[in-house]
Amino acid sequence: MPLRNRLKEYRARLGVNQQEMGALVQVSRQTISQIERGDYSPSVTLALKIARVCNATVEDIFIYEEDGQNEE
Amino acid sequence: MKNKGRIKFVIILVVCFLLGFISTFCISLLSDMNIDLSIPESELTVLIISIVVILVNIAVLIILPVQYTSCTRLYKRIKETQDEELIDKLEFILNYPLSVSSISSIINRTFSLLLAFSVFYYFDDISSLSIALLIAAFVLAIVTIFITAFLTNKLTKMIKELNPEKKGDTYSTSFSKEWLNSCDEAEKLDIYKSGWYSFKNTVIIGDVLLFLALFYGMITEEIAPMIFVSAFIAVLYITYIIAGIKEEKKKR
Repeated sequence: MPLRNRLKEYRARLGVNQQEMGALVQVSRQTISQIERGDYSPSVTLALKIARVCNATVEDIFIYEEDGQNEE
Repeated sequence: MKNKGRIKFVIILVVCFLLGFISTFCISLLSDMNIDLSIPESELTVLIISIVVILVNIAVLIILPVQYTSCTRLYKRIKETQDEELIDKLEFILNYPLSVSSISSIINRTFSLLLAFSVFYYFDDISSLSIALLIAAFVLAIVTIFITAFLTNKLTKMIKELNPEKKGDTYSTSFSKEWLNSCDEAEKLDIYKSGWYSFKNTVIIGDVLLFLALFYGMITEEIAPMIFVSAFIAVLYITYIIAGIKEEKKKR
């Protein structure tokens, strides 16, 4: 999947568990878990909500990688 | 990918051609031999249906409590440790008992109708052994339906405790609607994907059923099964098209 993310890291900074993170952005714990595992790419709305709660930009949390391109 | 699709299509065509050829050949052969293919109203029907119902329900009554116990054990560990990976694991394995309960309820519904049909047509002509098996099958089916409903409700409560945002009472008729409304975008996507997969396979099964109904019609000269299957396929497509149009309208 070309979309990686640092949601787990940002969630740890906030000091909340998946359930609480889900409640903050109005989704289920399962969805937060799926995003963290890279099994689900959130919608633009959800990505913006997550970024706002984490006090970061969408690009800080979600990293789009073209095929074969690695993060530095 | 395109080539794979073409190969599959050609294989299906060849298989259908062979099936058609073999069935027509068999029918012509049997009609030459003057063999009566109509199913006799015998005890065999009652025996087969009763034994299938008993075996299926015994299997469900063994499998479901075992799966339920393993889920409750894991749930207790989660309560103690609050481990998020264990929650993911539990949510995954919860699919097994829930699938078993749905499949068993569908099988019981179908076979209960067949049992009722057997009672109606054969009750006066069958032996006491068959009557005993029939009653045992009925009782077992009813017990399984109640146990399945009870365990499904317990498992749903477990899911609701893990996900407090989930709504819906399993005993309510509006459960599916309430549950779907409480799902978020990722969960809805999974449900819609499953729906699409189910539609795709039902269309294939519909075609197979139509073929079987045609085969049955050729033997018995009855067209009712063909009409029922065609109506089923038509309703399936019409519902799909109407749902598609409604979704399109919502976007405007």
